[in-house]
Amino acid sequence: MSFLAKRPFLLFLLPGFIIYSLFVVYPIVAAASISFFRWNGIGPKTFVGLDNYIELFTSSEMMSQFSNALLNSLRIFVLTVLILIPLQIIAAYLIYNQVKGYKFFRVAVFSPQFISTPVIVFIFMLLLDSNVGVFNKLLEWIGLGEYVRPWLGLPGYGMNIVWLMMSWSGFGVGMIFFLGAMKMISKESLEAGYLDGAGFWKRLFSIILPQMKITILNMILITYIVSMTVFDFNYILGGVSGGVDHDVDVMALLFYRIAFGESRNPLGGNISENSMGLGSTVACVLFLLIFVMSMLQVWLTYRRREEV
Amino acid sequence: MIGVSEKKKSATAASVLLWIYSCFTVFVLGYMVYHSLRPKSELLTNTFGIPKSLGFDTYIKMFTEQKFHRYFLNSTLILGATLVLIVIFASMVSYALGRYKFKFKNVLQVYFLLGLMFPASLGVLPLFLLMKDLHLLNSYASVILVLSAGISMPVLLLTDFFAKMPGEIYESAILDGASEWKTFYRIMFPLASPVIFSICIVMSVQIWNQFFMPLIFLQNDSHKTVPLIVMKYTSNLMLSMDKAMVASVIATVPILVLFMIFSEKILDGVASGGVKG
Amino acid sequence: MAKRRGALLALLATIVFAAGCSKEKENVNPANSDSASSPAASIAASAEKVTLKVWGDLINQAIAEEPFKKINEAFMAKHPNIKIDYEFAQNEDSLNVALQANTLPDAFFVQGNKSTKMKEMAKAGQIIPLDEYKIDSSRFPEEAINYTLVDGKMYSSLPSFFDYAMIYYNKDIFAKYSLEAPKTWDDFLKTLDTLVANGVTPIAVGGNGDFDRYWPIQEMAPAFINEDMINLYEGKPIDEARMTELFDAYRMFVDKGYYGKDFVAMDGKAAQLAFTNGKTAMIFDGTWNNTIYEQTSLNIGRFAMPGKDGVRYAQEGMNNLTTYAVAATSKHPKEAAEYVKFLSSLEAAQIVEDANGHVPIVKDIKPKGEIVAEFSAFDKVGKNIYHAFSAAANEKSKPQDLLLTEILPKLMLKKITGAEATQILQQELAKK
Repeated sequence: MSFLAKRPFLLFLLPGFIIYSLFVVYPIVAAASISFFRWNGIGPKTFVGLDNYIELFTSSEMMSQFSNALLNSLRIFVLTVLILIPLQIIAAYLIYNQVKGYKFFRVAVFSPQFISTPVIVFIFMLLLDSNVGVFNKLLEWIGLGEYVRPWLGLPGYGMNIVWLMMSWSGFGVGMIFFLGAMKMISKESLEAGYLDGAGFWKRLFSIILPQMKITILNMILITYIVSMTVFDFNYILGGVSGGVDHDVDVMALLFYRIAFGESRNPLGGNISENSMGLGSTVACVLFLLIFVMSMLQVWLTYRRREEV
Repeated sequence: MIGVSEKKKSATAASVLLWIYSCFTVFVLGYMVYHSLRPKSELLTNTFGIPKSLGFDTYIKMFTEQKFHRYFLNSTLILGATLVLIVIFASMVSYALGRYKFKFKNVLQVYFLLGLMFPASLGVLPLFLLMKDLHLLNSYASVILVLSAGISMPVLLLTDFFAKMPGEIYESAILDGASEWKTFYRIMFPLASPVIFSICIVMSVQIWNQFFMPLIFLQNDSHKTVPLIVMKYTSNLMLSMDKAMVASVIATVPILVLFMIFSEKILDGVASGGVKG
Repeated sequence: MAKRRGALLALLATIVFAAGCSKEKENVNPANSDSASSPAASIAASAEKVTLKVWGDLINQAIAEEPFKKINEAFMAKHPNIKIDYEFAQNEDSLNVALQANTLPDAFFVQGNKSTKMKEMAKAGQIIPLDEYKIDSSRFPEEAINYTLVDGKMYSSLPSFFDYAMIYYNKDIFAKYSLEAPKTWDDFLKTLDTLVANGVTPIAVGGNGDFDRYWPIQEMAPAFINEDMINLYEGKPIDEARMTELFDAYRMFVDKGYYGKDFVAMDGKAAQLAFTNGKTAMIFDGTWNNTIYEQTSLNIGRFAMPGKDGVRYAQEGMNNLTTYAVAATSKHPKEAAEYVKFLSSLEAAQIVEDANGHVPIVKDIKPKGEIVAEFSAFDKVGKNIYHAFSAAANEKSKPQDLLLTEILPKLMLKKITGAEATQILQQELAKK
């Protein structure tokens, strides 16, 4: 038998592997190497070894910004896993069971995805603004005028508001994956459930969820990655500094601030002498944070598969 | 059937939540469409209030002034080609990872996740130089290749499904004399289609909304894509909010139609029977 | 099986076709393709038609599109041998990529001395000095010339306009309480108090936006510390008492409720909507946003903030809509410089003025309508506090960032007093 015939998986693997390595992995590796240089993106580069990493972890100012951004990112992760993912599963289950109006739900739930983030934020401002917002007019109308607030920018609630908007617009993504996963579950096991007299919810918990464990784990990993790389909402709501006192600062925004910081400054502004070097360093640390979690995930998945 | 009436009862309670969410969403989208029909001066001075006039003026202006058909064509070409390539690459890779057992499989799984772990704007320079060397700058192929290489998420999600497929199907196909390749695309691929359609939907949104790669690689106006038009008006939102609304509505409609077609497939399409275990 | 193969083939064909298409296009514009790099091509350039690739600012496309279409047409009519291939393709990312990959267009948008970027590009030899092309700067004031200079050499076209932050007011609300546009600082405070006493929120400010909360201090600064700002440019120390007075004034506006109760939670857009919907009497905003207010049907007036010395100050800040540099990699530097020269001309400036109505700094530009005349009704151009602080910055000390991200938010949230703010600033200035 030839080499390939013994290893049929190579044929399946190769096309994707080549194109992925060339257009995804190679640029990442090349760019990551910048973290060992001092560089502003324009002039010459100087090799500085691990100095950028040392600067990031020893400067108290950098560390406080870093940990604040990390905590905010983690908050999105925790909120999503505890609240959003269960809701997405329930919604997927309802649509899967074709409850009344499921076709309408399906489209409604997914449509916010198509609208660009600045427009979403603007529409929410039109809804929640204290002067012209629909929601506040509603409050006044039902006699709760004293609660009128510009809800979108409430100090101290920044991250929760970001999370709510993200969840609203991203609700359909997770749901559609859960729906696809449910569709893959064999009819036989469901029919067995019917015969056992399992109720609507019992079937979800005892038949469907156990078969979706890995999908759920995968979605948790994707949630983690998304929360580490979320940028748009925070940038639009809090600007490049991530809001008053950095209250909506997140990891990707921190990277952007350091690497390209002043670029959107209406007054021009200065570029730092080491913007690209330090920016790449933040990106590499961000990468490590995600990488460790992914390793854990793959290990968990592997174990589960062995169990089956 | 007992099952049906019982299903109805318990489901109703949970459906209420779904109704609330969906109605809110429809309201938000409706509010956007409503504002897109208002003239700008009224939008500014009478933001909340009874409208004096509604009309399609901004729409007409946008269609006559902007080469929307051109941008749509570009976006559609990129979306179509990228989607097909992603499905081919990702399903093959995940089939290999899910179906077969071999050394370093776990390493490869993590390797295929790398793409999700870095900000895209960081790796763009090496990518640009690569495209320059390949003489692909200012061609759709550059964007299509870069975007279709982003198979990390599809691979992560699909691998599990191929792994879960019962081994007997594979073995009986091989025993019947089908080749490895034939077994994959005649039997395994169609079985995974619900998940593949889910992936298609999620990826199309990402590709359709993508503006970073087209911006860097397609610098001619004739190559530009729909999100760049939307961005033109959203980057100075207060100055051109009427056009920003209209552009958003126009940019959304075609992809929403596409979505409806795909989502129909997930529920009622070819593999509606699920996997026979 | 055949069907699937067919689909694959069709796909490949599409990609090849797409690639081929673009190749064809490149050949039409020889200046863009590598083939034009032969020396023969550039020698023959004077006789043949030259195509210049020019990048415009993507972020401001909506504003720049109309004037630049006309400018390019006018330029091409004057120079029939030059074709301008103008694309709004430049943002920070695409510029960085082009800088590092040596694929800059012949001419592109720069921000002059407003940022250190042009200086860095000049130092790295990415853009060329334009002195040998003799761009006439005699019509321009010193600030406009300084804008283009790096180490005494000119690197960009000259700005013909400038922008400053001012106050827009709702004439109907003012009339209701028989108020007029204030001429002195005390008048201004009295106006504000009258409005507060009548239950009207005087000024809309977006406290939740980096720059929206900054505009008030840019407007106040020249009246309080103009001298100190000049000192900062010269590396001299600041006067603590005057600085504290400025910070106290900034905080007083918060303490006295001039911005309303919830302004901290509003962003710039919310503030602008509050003003255009008639919920506040005034707003701090820049001349660059005039179009927003012009497009409303409201009765809106404009005035420059009066200082304590009774002088109405504008603040220095060149408009960068028409400032472009020539890339060192350009194969047609002469023609590109010709384009940059045209951007500095009265003809181009007048096109921009007629389209957009900016505040001219060159006397011979005919202002567009009364509004621009209103813009020009200030007594003196003061320094810009952000730029003055930037001038005092070094690699360790960034007082301008500290002002935006630390001092102003804390003053606004009433967490520090003016004196404490001055101390924080002094500590930063002392870092070397």
